[in-house]
Amino acid sequence: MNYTRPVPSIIGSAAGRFVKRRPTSSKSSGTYQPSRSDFIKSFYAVLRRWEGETAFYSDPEKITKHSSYKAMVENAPLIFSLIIDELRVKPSLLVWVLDDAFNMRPYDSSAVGNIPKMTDAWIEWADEHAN
Amino acid sequence: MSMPIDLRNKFPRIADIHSKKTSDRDDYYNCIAWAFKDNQRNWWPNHKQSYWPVNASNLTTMEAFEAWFTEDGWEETSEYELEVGYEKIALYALNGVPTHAARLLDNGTWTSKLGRYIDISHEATELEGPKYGQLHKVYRKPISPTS
Repeated sequence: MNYTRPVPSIIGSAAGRFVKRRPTSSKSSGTYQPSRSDFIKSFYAVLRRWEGETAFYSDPEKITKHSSYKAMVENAPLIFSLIIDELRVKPSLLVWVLDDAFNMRPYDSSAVGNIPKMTDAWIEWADEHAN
Repeated sequence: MSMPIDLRNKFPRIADIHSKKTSDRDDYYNCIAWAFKDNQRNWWPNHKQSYWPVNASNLTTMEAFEAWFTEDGWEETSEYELEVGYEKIALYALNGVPTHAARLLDNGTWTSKLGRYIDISHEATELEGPKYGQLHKVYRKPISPTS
């Protein structure tokens, strides 16, 4: 397997680490410190936007050129555990995010297009590489 | 999956798309897979992410679709209705680029999987509009005893 991006070593704790401590003037009462729940909410907001705005497409190119898809690919190491959690609930095209983000496929080429099989492979890979 | 909005803008010929729903939404299969009676895989002439029965250039072109249709024994027809002894698939295109496929049912209506969304039952031209473009071509294939 070839990696163009580091394999996430923060599986299971990525969201918890994503805490900015930068003060902001957007709040009138002191400093704003995003919490883990803020991070998770932002992930699901991006995910739902992608799902909603690509709902009627069958063409993978149209589905994967959406800005929300690109955002998930770029932040995949941070949101890896959230994606895996979502895939455990229901197989979905989120496997394409993982394929593109880590430039690897933990499944046989014969499984390409079979979303449940691709999902199972990514979940198994995540379980094997969990800290 | 969140509910897409502005459906009348996308499908202006259908007043209430959810009244035509025949399945729940899921990512397991897409329109062209459903046209070929596969509800387990995403099909597209793009081997990177999807299944396609023959070699493809990974470009969404009419030629890529027609190469498979020809290989699988389909021929173009001007008849959109039921014909004894034939099954039919419709291909939609926007500016000459394939966008969607549908399959004719035994009851004379068409069935479609709308991308990642739901299956619906509809008339052939009802899906025409800004999302899928126009009904481009209809193909037919003799029904084999095993199909």
